[in-house]
Amino acid sequence: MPNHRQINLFKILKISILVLCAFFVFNTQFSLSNPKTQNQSTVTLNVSITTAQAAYSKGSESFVTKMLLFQHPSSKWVRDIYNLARGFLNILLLVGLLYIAFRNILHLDIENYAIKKLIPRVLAAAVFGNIAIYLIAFLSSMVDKLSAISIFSPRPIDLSMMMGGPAALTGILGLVAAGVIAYFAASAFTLGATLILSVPLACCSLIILVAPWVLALGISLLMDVRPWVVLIGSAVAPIAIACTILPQTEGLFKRWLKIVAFWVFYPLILYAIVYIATKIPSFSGATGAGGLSRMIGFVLPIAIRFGLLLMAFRLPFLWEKDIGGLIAKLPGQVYGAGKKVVGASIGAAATGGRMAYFYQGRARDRSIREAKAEAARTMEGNRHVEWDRFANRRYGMTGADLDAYLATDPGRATRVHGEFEQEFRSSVAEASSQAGNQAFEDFRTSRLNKIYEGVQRFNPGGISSAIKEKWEFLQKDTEKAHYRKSVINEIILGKTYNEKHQEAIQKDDQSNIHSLPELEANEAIHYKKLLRTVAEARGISEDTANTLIQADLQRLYSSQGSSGEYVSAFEDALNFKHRNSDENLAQVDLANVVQGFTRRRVLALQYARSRNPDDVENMRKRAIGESYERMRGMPSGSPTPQGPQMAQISAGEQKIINLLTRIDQGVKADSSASAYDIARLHVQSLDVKDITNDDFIKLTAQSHGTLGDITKHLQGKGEDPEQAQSFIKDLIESNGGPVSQFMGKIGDDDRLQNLVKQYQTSRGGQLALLGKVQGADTVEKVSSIILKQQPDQETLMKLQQSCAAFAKTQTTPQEMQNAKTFLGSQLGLGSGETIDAQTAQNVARALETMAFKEPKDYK
Amino acid sequence: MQIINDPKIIRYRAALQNEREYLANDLQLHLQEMRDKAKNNIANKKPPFDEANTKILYNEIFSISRPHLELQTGDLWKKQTVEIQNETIQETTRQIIDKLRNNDEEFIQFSRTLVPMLIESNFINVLKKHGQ
Repeated sequence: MPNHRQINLFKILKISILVLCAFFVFNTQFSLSNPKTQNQSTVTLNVSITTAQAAYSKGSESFVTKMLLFQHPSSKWVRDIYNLARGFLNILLLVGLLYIAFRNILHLDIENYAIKKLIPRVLAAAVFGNIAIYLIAFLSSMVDKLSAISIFSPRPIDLSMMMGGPAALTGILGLVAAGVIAYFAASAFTLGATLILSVPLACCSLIILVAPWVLALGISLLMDVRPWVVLIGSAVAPIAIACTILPQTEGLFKRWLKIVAFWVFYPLILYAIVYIATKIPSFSGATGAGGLSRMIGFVLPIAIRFGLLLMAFRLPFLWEKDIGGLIAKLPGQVYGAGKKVVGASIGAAATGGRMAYFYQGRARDRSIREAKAEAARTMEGNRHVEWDRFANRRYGMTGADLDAYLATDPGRATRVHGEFEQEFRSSVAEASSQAGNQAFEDFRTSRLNKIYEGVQRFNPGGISSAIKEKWEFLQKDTEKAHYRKSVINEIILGKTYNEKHQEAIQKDDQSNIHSLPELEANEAIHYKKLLRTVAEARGISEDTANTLIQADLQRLYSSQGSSGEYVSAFEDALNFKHRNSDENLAQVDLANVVQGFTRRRVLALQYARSRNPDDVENMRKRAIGESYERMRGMPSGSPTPQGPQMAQISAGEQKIINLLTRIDQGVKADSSASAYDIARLHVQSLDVKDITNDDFIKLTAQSHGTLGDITKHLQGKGEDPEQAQSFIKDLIESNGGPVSQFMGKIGDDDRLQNLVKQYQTSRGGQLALLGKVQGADTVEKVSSIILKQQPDQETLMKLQQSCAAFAKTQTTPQEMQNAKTFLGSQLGLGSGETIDAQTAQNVARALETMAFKEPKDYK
Repeated sequence: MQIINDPKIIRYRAALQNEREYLANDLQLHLQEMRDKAKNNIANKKPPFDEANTKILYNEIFSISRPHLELQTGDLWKKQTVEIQNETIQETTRQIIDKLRNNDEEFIQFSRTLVPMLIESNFINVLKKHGQ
């Protein structure tokens, strides 16, 4: 195991170095108290003072100031650049002013406010641009004068200064050397071991000596850079000041100002810091006689001095990152330029359709799509495994056993399979989504992707044009995607959708809408918009979209617009679309639109309702009235121009019309006849399979509406409210009884007579129909079977519990078997194996009709 | 518990069952509308429910209570004074509004079954309160 040996060797070496460093520190401490180690030799690395003096002279005009005032022999280049920049500025200002003047004189389209805002800036630029260099020279001169003050005076920045003076430096070096020698003299190491020890010792010595020297060199370099920055910055000052005119270029001026101002004043800051650093004394053993306190007294001031100078060195980079950033970026820029050159040749071979395919994300999308489909297929293949899990989780049995068990009860099997399908679909969706995410991640980190990304960087199509194209493409694509997403999201996310469309609905003028058909017509406009938007986003042709919309609208307006009806209407639309296109995604979008429109319609209805309770009532009544007029063959008014064609009377509606007409005739002919009885006679032979839920709701609504009219009428007559309420109560409880029983209370009020007749007609018809439909016959039949058994209360309770077992999904097989057996015995169905959930429901309904509770039952 | 033997009354009560179910279905749709509207109103910093919707809800609960309580209690509901009936419906309305305000999704989803049961429970409580 060579690797292990190697690692162990490194570990030993690391520990050895740490131990040796500790020895070194110990020896240093030891030698501090040894007077024999002191000597007078000093090591100074004075590299900055000469440079500093050249550019920054104490109390007199420095090199920079002389250059800026054109007094130095070498200042010609500064003057040339400055003159050029100044001339450029002046020409620019002249042209600009002439342009503004002519536009103003000729009253061309130009904003006065913009001119007024621009003129002060132009004038300021004209003045300061022409005297900029003298202003900077003045500042530089001021810095020179300030340098006469001792705080800002130039000082040598060297090793001696950092160590606290020549004597301290000598002391340190002597102490270090003596400590090392003493240590080796006392040790009994071999020559080999001594050589190894010398490495960390040499490193420590180098750090102590070299780090301050490097820092001094760095500061010195900054001072070398300073004249160049100030001189070039001053020379281009007119152009920089010209940048203040336009808001778009004002940022450039600010950057220029930051650079020049800082570098002009940098020596003052630097030497103030140096001044502070030199004032920090070294106190060897100042805090006590112990070795550690001596070390702290010695090392800490050095560290503080070093830290201060380090701060002075970093200041330009912290202050303005341009210079530092430029220096830092320089290698990267050079490398980037090289890459571009190299990449040009590689990219030339790699561009083409493949690149476009790649960059438009189609490669990525395809891999995600395939991964999702694969995951879904795998899940589908494992359906039996999921079924086993489901069976085990729910019923503690295997899938096969559950199949066998459910085979005996088709109703229950449908319900359980439905639940399983729901769970399975969500599992498939989850697995598919996870696979998609994984595929995206795999693709992103794939070698192929990295290669293509690399190739993109070397695209030879020209950096600027490539970026521009890419940007435009991305922008358009993002806009499109955002738009599409916003449409879909608005629909899917209830809150956003509601907020936005609530506003839209409120903006609509709905003041003239008093009936449901009118509301439908208004809503149709929004529906069309929604569907067109999605059709457009999905690339469905206009003709197809129109066909789709027309077909759906016809269907929708023939319904009462409940959520379920919308969904069913659109299922057809979606199938229609599916047959004509391979693009399955369109179905999802359309389904979203359906959902969205249904919600919107509900909101619109709510809004219509909430406008005014009276309006709501009127709207409801009118809708009902129109509906029944239509049913009775008396269309109310002409259809609204923009509205849909009104629906034809359905078979169910026609049957209700006939029934109501017959009851009406019967009640008019004989006021002592019960409307309910008349209705029952007619309903007995009536085939009610065409009569839908909505027809019943309309019938019920009509009864309620008539009751409302009666209440208002009684109020209008000044009837006592309690008596009126009592009258209404009796009317309801008569359940479509004869009108004659109310004649005493009605008197000769014709209007009230008609209203009561109308109410009893609809109420009688309603009750008779309700008794006929929805398994009422079955209920009657089942109840007669149970009654034959002459059940007591306990049996009834047990029957109820047995029926309840069918309604629960968590019922165990044993419980179910017991329930079936009991029901079978009571209904005369043998062992009860043939009893399913539907039968149990019928029995439960029959039981409810067969008994009612008394107050004592509640106790 | 009183057992009914008359087939005619049983048929009438079957009609009441159907009526209750239609009305409960309508009420559930109305509750869903109210829930959505309440959410929207809260988002727009408005009171969650307005008077018109509450009034409609009250009327719908009243409509359901009649067939349901007649089925469950026979004539007991019919015999009560207007005050007791109003108190029952008001209490039920208040409880349903609370559930809507708390966005009790389960209640709304099964309101077709739960609302009649709630009415019945409140009716019994009101009767007890009035010492009956």
